[in-house]
Amino acid sequence: MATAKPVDEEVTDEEIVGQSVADPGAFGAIFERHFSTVYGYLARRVGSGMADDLASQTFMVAFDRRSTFHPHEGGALPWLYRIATNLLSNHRRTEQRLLEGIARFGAESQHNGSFGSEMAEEQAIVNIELQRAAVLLAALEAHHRDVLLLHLWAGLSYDEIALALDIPSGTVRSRLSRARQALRSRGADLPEPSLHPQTTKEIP
Amino acid sequence: MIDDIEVIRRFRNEPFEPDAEVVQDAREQLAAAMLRDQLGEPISTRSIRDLSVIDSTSAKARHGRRVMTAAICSIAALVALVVYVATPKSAIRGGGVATLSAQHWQLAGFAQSDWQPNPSGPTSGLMTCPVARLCYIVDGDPVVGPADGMGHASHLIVSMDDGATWTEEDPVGVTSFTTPLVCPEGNGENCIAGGMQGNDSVLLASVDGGVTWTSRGLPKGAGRLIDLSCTSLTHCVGVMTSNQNVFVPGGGLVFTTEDGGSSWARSNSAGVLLQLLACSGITCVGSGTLPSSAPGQAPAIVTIYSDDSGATWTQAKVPAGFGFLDSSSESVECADATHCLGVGEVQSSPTQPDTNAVVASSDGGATWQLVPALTNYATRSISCATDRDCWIAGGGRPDPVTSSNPITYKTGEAAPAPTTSPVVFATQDAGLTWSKITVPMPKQVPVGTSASSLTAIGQISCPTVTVCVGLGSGDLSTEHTATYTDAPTGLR
Repeated sequence: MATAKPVDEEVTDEEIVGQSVADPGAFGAIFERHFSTVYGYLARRVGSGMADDLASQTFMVAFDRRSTFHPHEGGALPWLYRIATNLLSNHRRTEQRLLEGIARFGAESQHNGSFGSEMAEEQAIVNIELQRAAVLLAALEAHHRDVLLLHLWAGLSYDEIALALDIPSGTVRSRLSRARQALRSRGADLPEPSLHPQTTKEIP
Repeated sequence: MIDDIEVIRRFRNEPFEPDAEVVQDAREQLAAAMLRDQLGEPISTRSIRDLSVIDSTSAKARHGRRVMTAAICSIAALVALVVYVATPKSAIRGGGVATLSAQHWQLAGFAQSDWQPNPSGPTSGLMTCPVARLCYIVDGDPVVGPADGMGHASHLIVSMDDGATWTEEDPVGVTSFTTPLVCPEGNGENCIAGGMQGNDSVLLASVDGGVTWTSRGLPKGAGRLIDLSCTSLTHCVGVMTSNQNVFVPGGGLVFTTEDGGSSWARSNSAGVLLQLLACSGITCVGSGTLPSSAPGQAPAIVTIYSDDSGATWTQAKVPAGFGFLDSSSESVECADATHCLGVGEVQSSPTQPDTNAVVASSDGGATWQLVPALTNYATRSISCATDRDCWIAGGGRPDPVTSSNPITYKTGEAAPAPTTSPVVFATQDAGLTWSKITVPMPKQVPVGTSASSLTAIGQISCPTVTVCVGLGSGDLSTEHTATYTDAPTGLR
C-alpha cells in the first residue's frame, strides 16, 4: 500500500471492515476515509506531535481488532474515536500540560510565535478566549472532557458518543450535564474577554 | 455574557491537517501490518506501541517547532506542580501529635440544602467521595413519615470540584436513600446504596453517577438496609433491620450478596445486632449490641469481626468501656485486610462522662488498642485512601453550646470567636505517627449556615492521597453546611 487507493464512497464502512476480515488489504479504505478526521481530533486534544503517533496507532489497533467491529449506524468513526479515546487516556498528562501551557501563555505557547502589532488587539481577545477555554477544559474531569469534546469537536450525537465510549446513552447525558455545570461553576470565577483589553492577562 | 460552550467549540479550531509525510508513515505502518496479517503473523497491541515509540523519535525530529511548544507547556506544568508539592501533608515521627498550620486544608464551600430534622435513618447528609473531584451527599428530606417514622433522604447533592460547589439533583427511580452511596469500582459513577422505592426497602444501583437508579428487593423479612459495605459491584455486606421502622432497638442482621443483590445470604453474626460495619478485602468489622440473656438487663455493646468476607463473625477484644460511635457509618474503617481504625467513646466509670477515643487494630479487627495521642479529641469520621494514608476528622473538644443549641448566622455576619475548630488528623504510616491540622473559622458565612459545621467536621472522605473532603457537622434546620478540602484549587 505504497500509494493511496481511491475510496469508493458508495461502499459503507461496515462493508469495508467486514470485507477486511478476509481481505486485510481492504482496510486501507478505512484509513483513507477517516485518517485526517481522527488526526484532526487528536491534534486538537494533545497537539500535532503526539497526534502523529496516536492517529497511526488508532488505525493499527483498529486493523488488529477489526474482527470485533460491530456494524453500527454512523459508520466506523465512533469505533475509531473509541480507540483514539482509549489511547488518549494514556496521555492525559500531555493533554493537561498542553492546556495548562495555553492557560498560562495563551497563543504564544500554542504557536510559539509572535503576531504583527496591527493585530495586537484582536490577538489579545483571541488569547483571552484561548486561555479561558484552556482553563475550563483543564478543570474538567477526564471522562467529562471526553464526552464534551466528542460532542463539540467530533460532532458525534449522544448515541454515537455512547457507542464510542461504550457507555449507556443516559451516562452520556449525565456527563454532558455535569460537564456543563462544571463549566458554569468554573467559568463564573474567570474574567470575561473584553472588547478592548489592555493586556493579555494570565488567568489563575 | 460569553458562552463558554462556544469558547470551547472554537478552541484550537484551526485545521489540523497531518503532514503528507505523517500520513505516508502511518499508511506504510498499516500496510506492513496488513502484510504480516496476510502472512499469518498477527500484530499485537504491544508491538504496535513499540513500533510507534520508535517512530515518534523521527516524527519529533521532523517537527522541531512542535517540540519547542511542548517544552514551553511542560515548563508551565512544572511550575504549577511545584506550587502544590510545596505544601506537603507531613507526618511527624517519634510519637505524639504535631500541630500543623492549615496551609493545605481550607474551607472549600458550603453545601446548600434544605436539611431538616431527620431523626431517622441517615443523619442529615451522608457523604461519599469515590474519586478525586467527585463527591455525593444523600440529603435528609423534611418529610418524615409515614406514621412509623420512616426516614427519607430523597435528594442527591453532587460536587465535581472537591466540595467547593454543590448541585442538588432529584434522582430517578429512588424514593429515598437509607445509606450513603458506595461506589467501589470504576470512575465513581457505578454506585450502590440502600434505599426505598415507594414503600419497599431495596438495594439501589446506578451506572450513571446517581442520575438514574434500578432496584432489587431485600431478602424476605428484612426491613431497611441501614449500612452497606461493598468491595465490588457484586460483593456487598449489608445490615438490615427486621422492619421498616427507623428506630429498631439494637441494630440489624447481617446479610451478604455475591451477585449485586439478586440473592442474599444470612450471616452468622454471633447473636449481635449490628449498627455499623466496614469491609476491606475479606476483612469486615462491625459494632452493635448483644441482647442480654438475663431479663431486664441492658444489651452489651460489642465489636465483632469477620475474616471470610462477612459470612461468619467473631466477637473482638476492645479496650474496657469502649464503644464505637453509632451515629456515623464512617466511625470505623479498614485501610486493608489487616489495619483498621475506629472512633468512639470510653466510659471509664458510670459516674463520669464518656471520653472520646480512637482505637486501632492490626490483626483484621480481632483486637483493638487505644491510640493515646488521639484521645480526648471529638473525632467523628475516618477515611483511608491507601493502606498507609488515613485521616480522622472531628471538631476538637465537644462544644456544649453549638452541639445542643445550634445557631445560624445572618448574611455577612462575622463568625464569633470559636470555642473549637474543625480538626483533621493524618497519618502516612498506617497509624504509627499522626499529624494534626486545624482549620480556622471563616470571617463571613452565608445566612443559614450551620454553626457547628464551622466548628467540627462530621464526615471525611479521601479518595486519593492528595484529595480529602470534609463535610461540616450537621445541624438541624440549616440551609448551608460548610465543606472542607485539602485539594489544591485551580488548575491541576
